[in-house]
Amino acid sequence: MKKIIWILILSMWIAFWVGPGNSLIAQSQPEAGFCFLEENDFYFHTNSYFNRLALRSSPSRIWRVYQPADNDPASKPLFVFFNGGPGGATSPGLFSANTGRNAVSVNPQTDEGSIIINPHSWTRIGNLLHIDSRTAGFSYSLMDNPQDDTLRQAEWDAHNYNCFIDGADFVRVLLRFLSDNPTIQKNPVVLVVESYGGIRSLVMLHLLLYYQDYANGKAIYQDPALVQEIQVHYNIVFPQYAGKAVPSSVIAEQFRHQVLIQPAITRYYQRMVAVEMLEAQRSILDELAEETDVPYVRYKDQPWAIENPTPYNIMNNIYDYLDNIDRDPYFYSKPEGFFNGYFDAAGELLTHYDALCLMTGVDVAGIPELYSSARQKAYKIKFLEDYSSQANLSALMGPAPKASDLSSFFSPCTEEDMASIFGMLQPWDRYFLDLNYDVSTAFSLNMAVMQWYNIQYGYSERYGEMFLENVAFVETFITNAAYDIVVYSPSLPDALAFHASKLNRSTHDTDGPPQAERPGQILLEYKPGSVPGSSVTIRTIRFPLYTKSGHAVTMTEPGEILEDVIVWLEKTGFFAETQMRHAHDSHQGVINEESHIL
Amino acid sequence: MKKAISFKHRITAALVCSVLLLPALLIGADRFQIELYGGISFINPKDLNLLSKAEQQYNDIYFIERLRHYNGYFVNDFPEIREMIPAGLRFRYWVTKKLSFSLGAEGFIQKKKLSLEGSFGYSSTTSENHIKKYDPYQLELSGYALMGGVHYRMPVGNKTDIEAGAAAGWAKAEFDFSSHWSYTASYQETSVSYSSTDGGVLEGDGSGNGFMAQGMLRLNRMLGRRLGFFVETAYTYCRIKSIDGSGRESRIGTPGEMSWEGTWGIKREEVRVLWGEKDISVPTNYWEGWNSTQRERDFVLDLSGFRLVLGFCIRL
Repeated sequence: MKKIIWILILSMWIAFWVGPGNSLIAQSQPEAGFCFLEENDFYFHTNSYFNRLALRSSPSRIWRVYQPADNDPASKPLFVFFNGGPGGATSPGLFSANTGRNAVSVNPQTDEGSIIINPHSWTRIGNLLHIDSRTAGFSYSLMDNPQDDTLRQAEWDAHNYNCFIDGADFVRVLLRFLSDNPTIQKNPVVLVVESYGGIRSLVMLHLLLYYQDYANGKAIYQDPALVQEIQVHYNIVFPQYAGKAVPSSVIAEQFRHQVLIQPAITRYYQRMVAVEMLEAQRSILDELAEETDVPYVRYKDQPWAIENPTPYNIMNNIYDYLDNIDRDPYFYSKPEGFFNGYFDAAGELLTHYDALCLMTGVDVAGIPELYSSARQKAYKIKFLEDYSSQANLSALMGPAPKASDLSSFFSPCTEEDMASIFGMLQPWDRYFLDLNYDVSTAFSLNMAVMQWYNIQYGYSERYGEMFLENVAFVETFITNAAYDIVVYSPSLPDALAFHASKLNRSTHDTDGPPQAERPGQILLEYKPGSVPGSSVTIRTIRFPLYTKSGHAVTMTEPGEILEDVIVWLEKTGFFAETQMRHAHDSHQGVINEESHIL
Repeated sequence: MKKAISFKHRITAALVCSVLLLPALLIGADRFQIELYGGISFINPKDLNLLSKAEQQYNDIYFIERLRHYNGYFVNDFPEIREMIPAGLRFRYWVTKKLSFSLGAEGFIQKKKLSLEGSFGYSSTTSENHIKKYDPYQLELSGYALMGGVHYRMPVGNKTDIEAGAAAGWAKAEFDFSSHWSYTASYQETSVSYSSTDGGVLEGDGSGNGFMAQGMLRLNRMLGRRLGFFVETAYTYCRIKSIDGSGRESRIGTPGEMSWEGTWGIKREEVRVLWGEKDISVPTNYWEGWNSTQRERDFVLDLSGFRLVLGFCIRL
């Protein structure tokens, strides 16, 4: 009897320490599940309080997957990954594309995906957190009476979809994850983002670095509850400032690095400079014309050209040409559909129970919020019938979606495997959406935009300025992919120079830094006093050229980007020398052979 | 509703008090006089009217200026209080045939309620419409005063005399403001349609008290030995400072009501938008957080102005 009691006590002791709810060691185990975001009140204003646009976001369950570092996770930074869209999921993006322990490899012949052990896993250098944005990927939102079409359609508006609430969502998820994992709560955090994720990351960092401006009326977006949550986090991380305003320079001790993969930053200027470069003589479009024997007719030479075209008009002409020659604007050396094909294949895999368990490292059957019984109030789809023309107004980074892209979005999804385990969902719900077109449309057509609040990322100068204010404190790494037209990265240095209120000069140095395998950097000369709380005058952005990549650099040059990031982190003082060397050495020893496991 | 009842009670109380004085007054018969009067006061409570003016200016910049290339209209003529209706009861005691002292109670009220609408839109391959409505927009002012005065009359005929007088006392005034507004924006393309409505209810009230003084000139005409009527013109000076009150706001899309209490003041809002900029002075009693540094000055409820009243009097 005594023995049995002792065994019971021992078992309970082990269960206490090993149990999934225990945060002391939870950080050393992979985790997958949802972060619940409650309703949040926020508003936009232009210095008139009672003329503000007061909004309340809907409750949402945000999908996130945590993978601990290979060694000693408690001492490692947290790399937070997300894609863009807006409305694009991270699960079939960066999560699948060679950043986590496992990755999805797509067979170009069959377009089918398989899961491989990722030889370039970022778990070598840190802990990883991949997040799907609101109503994208596995994330879904909640409302009363989702079956009511009118009420549900009204959910796709400014209260849930704009650049600021989107960034605030991610800050909330990040801070709550850190709060749930106290052993890494104070560790450095690095945002690793792609495409529209550039806007989201700059909003997040601005919310974190200049957090007080978001409750004192200074910023256009006011979210007092978020500011309070940020302060609570800082009270723990920077106890010397408990209850006080924490200076940006101090905050940057935790948020001091960002990795931006083909990012949108100052989208209007980026696109303006891009079309100028692409329409110039002997541009890559002429090379494509030569290669395909299909001449490129410049916008101004088109019979239907209008007198003062916007960069968007000109870019649409370029997209039409690429479509005509069957090239993918996200990777112009590849056939049309290459980029989206990867997302489709990854999405198809992830909606299979076994694959999802393998990719996350977690038995997802243990996640209660995945079950249909927990999703009575869930919604993910705006229209039940095909309403594809709505997508013409999409705020998507790339060309407007084609009818063929949309048909799979609007038609009932093939999620039988998930349904067999978690139950059948309501028609307005989905287990997974790789790209929610309703979200990208809601970003461009909503009450804030109709009332002309200057928050549209495609037009507003605001985001470029916020980015430059962040860069004064945050070391920045931006990819320069050779085959991406959607984010034509050579335009970035000149695009940044348009922010004359912040910069005297922005220069593309194609040779530096010394000894770089993939050189490239952007040198920024700041206007003195242009950044609040900073005396910055010069900053350097690492801007390496990836000669084999399109929009998704980790998809095509995963080893190269990881190598560059490690070297850059090392040079910018991110790790202690010994820790870094260990990671660097182990990365060098990686066997580049893909081993398929599913 | 609570305010209206409160006002009625106070007026009733003043009248009851006055009537209670009656027996005492009867002791000195022939020396007492009761007057009842009503009329119109021409006032300009600038800071109160600034509520409407600010609303007009907001509409100028947030609506009319922004949509100036669209087709549409907005009368944008918000109500202002420029007059009020006074009514009162006054007791006189004649010290001599020409000189008298008075004690009076007076109430005053005014309410302006309007529905306003603005609509702008354009239509080509796409169509867009913006409609802003106030239904209703309301301003209400009320109060009462207790004053003592001295009067001197000069006969100009058998039954007619001209009288000059001055009175001073204490006044209490209160105002209510209410704006039920909505903004509907819609967009139509071949098969794309979007429509959404923003809006809410903003209400506020304030009350304060202060010194009131009047200088008056009037024409009396007796119709018999005891009954007469008069026409009186007067200038009233009354500037009530330190106005406190409450406020409430509810908005579409954010369930619940926000309410607050505070002292009214004038706040400067520097509206800076892409299409223009305007400095707007707006009365408010909401000073939470970031607004506190924008306080321009105190709110003054100015009830000063000329007035004309008609009344009748009874000699006791």
